[in-house]
Amino acid sequence: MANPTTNYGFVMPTPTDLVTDLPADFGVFGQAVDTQMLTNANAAIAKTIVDAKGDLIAATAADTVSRLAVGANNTVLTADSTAATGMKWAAPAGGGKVLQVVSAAITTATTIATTTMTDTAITLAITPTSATSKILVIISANVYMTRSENNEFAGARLLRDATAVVTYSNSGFVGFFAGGISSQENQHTASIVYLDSPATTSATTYKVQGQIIYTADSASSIWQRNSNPSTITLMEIGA
Amino acid sequence: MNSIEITAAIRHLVPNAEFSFTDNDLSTLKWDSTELTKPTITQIKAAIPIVKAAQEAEIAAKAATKAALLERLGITADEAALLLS
Repeated sequence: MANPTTNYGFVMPTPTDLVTDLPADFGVFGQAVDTQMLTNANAAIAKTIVDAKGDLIAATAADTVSRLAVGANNTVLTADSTAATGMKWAAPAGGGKVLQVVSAAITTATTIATTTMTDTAITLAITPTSATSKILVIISANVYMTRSENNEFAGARLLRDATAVVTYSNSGFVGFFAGGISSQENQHTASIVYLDSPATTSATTYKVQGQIIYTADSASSIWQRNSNPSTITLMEIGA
Repeated sequence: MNSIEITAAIRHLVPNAEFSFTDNDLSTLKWDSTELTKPTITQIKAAIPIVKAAQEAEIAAKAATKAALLERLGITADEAALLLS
């Protein structure tokens, strides 16, 4: 064995010391060991800091550590300078990806023979996971119109809860749906595609309302006539 | 009864009325023409065969008029269609 020792430099009693000054040398050796062990203990991180599976040890300042408890499932470790450890567990950012999709097919026939915007039965709710998400609304509406005179028009609008986010006015011959020839029946599938920013994590309902422009000459519209389906799809897109 | 028959019956009873309903169910009738009297379900049901009969009579009358006109012109329906094409 090297003397002093290789790692800590403990000075060991020499064979001569063992004869001439054994008690004093052992005292020096013992104190050196005691001092070094205290130094080691102070520099070590106690395993009792962590309490549960997945806990992490993180710095809260220079030469200072703390426990960062494990996050919820499917969260990721994210830097956050306002947190004590400078980190937190958070839901992963969507990054433009589709976070959820809900869809419905509606076959409830709804006759609208009024100039008042009226529910068409095309409706669906979604609860965004983040207030920064966008909602892509895709609607395929089956609409039938009839009138015994030329020019028949239907207006429509898309609502987010009580707020109209898109309106297809039926004034000035610019409607959501139009037919042209007298006494002809027109049945088409018309679409609404809209990217909305609801800025909420509460349940949000989208729905379509419709109207007709003329009430004279037996004009009317029927949405989902004969159970021909309309569809509505809502996609949450991560910001 | 279907949506078109119901709509025609209501408009027969109350011309230019504004309304909506769901799934041919008259109990869902939403009446927007508040200045006009909303007909009862019984009145609407009773009007349906009347309107149908009137429409059929109108179609028959048109057909008879058309046939008489073709006969007077001395041409067939196909020849008349050819002239219009």
